[in-house]
Amino acid sequence: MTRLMAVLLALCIVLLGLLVLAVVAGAGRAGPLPHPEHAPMQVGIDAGELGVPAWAAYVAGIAMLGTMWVTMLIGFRDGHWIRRAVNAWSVGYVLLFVVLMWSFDAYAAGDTTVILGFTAPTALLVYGLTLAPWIPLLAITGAFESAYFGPREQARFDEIVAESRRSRERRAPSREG
Amino acid sequence: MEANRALITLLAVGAYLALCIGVGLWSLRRTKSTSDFFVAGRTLGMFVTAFAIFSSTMSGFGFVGGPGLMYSMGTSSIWILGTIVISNIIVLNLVAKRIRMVSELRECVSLPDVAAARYGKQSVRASVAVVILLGVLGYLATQILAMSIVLQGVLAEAGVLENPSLALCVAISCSVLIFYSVTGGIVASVYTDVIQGVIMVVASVLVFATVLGTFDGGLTEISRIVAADDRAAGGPWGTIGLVGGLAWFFVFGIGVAGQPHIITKFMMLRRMKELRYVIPVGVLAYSFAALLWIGIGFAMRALVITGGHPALATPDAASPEFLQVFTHPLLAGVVFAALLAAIMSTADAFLNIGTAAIMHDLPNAIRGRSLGNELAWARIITVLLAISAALVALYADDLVALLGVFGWGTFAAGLVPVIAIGLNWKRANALAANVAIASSLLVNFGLRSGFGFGTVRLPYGVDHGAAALLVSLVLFLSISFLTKPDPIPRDVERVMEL
Repeated sequence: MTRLMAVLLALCIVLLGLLVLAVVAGAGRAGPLPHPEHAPMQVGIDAGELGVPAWAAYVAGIAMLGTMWVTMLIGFRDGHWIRRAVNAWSVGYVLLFVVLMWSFDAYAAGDTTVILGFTAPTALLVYGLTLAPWIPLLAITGAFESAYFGPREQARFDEIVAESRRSRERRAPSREG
Repeated sequence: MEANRALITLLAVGAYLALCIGVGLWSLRRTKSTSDFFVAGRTLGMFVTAFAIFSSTMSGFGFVGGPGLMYSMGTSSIWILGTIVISNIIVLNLVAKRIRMVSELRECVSLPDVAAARYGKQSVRASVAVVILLGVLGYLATQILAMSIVLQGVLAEAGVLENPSLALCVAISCSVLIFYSVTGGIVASVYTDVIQGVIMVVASVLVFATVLGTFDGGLTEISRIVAADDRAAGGPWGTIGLVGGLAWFFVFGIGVAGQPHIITKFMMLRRMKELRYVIPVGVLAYSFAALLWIGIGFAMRALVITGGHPALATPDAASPEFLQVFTHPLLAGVVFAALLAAIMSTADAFLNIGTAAIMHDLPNAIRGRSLGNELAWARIITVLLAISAALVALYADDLVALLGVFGWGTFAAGLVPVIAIGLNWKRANALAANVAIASSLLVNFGLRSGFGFGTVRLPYGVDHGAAALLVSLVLFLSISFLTKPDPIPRDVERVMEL
């Protein structure tokens, strides 16, 4: 657990560092503009890139996904296969984000492909980044008892609750007395 | 039927409000103790818990604000919706099991109770109660204002009253909210949530089908129109831009684990093993409801661009306008009821946790014991809190706006480290918890109000809540690493090991 928390801290420091760097450098001041004909509708600039350096976008995106990977791992039993499965899935999820970035580059260069109702990179967001977590969710649901909370844990928990109640009841009369 | 559109909407909304009153009366007999009032006596089944969580999450923002964001910013807000599944896995892994176990172990009725049990310090209970109370006041006032505006529109359209005042609509909507929240406490709240959730899911699917019919070529044509008008709006980031979209993904993805109106629902679950299906069922419901958010907002943008509808005065008009102009009158009636349902389901959840903070947690933190006759006080405080929030909504709109947007980010920044991480990591201590909460308030209020000098704009459109969450996580984790861990009560420690 402590190792996971150290990784989480490191990732948060990277993200906070990038934000502070941008503030200090006075970067990222440009923002969306009012639509010329239909305000308060907005229009973006640079196809939505807003001038962010590519390296910073990759680092920020991967670090954010990293924080989610860490928080997803907490709660599973050590050594259970689901931990390895979540690790492998997280690598795939990061790759999906990288593919979205490449697809965005093509889109910004003028590609107009529409897939299942959305432009190609947006389709990767909707059908990829949004829906891909169903894989670990269904895996967790399937392996719930062995990976997360099963009859053995329930029995142990009942025992702790009963002991805690007995201990409180013992203390209560002695205080009254 | 078209001629009776306004009347049908009024009847649907009236039927829904009557149903809420009925549920309030039904749950009165089931609310006999403080535990019943705040955590439904820990008797909720899987389906009820799943829908209570989904309904409380969705809120009026999902039905009005969300489509408004799609209309004004293009695809940006899909980064919020994109967290639906992953954020719920995080909730399951970080909070659900731990919060459910600690609450049964120590017979907790509120989140500050859980925090006090974990850290063994009343100062943490007080900090958590204060942050909840501040957020609740803003959220509740925002929800009350939203439901009153919806009701005002429905009454005016139907011609029942000539120019119904906002104060009258606040009085009507708050009366219903107060009635079922006072009589049935959280029991009424969660069972109305189930009705509200089912209405929302059905309405969203039907509205999405209507959206697909607004243009030949459906969503593909809508996307082409939006992208041809503005590359950014049809791309993956929308107009908020690349980093802004990612920042939303971060704060909504991880931040949900700190939303008290959502995570307290796990304390009400009857059996631990039912956690297995709570999250998948809730996520599925939310995914269907998201169709309305994406569909209406995107379609209205394309309609305005192509001249199919005049430009909207405000982005939030996207949803009501679409329903009035493009949907079947019966469907519009159901969706207006669903809209009210979404708002009220969030409002009643906040009313309940706000009441707990005032009458249970703050007295416990200050005096070391609860008020006598807690159930009676719970009902009195519920009324007073709702009236206070209604007055804030009516007479302090600047404060409503500030507190409303402040809510999610503050809960995320304050409660994710303290509750979600703290319940899993034994090194976390009370000092780190109190500093994290103080920083969440300071950074959020500071950035949003600029300490009186106007809102501070972060680079690349980064959300203030994301910055606050990063600061509080860094402080919480660093302090916990650098200082000695506090002793954890033995029973709580053993539960943390399970």
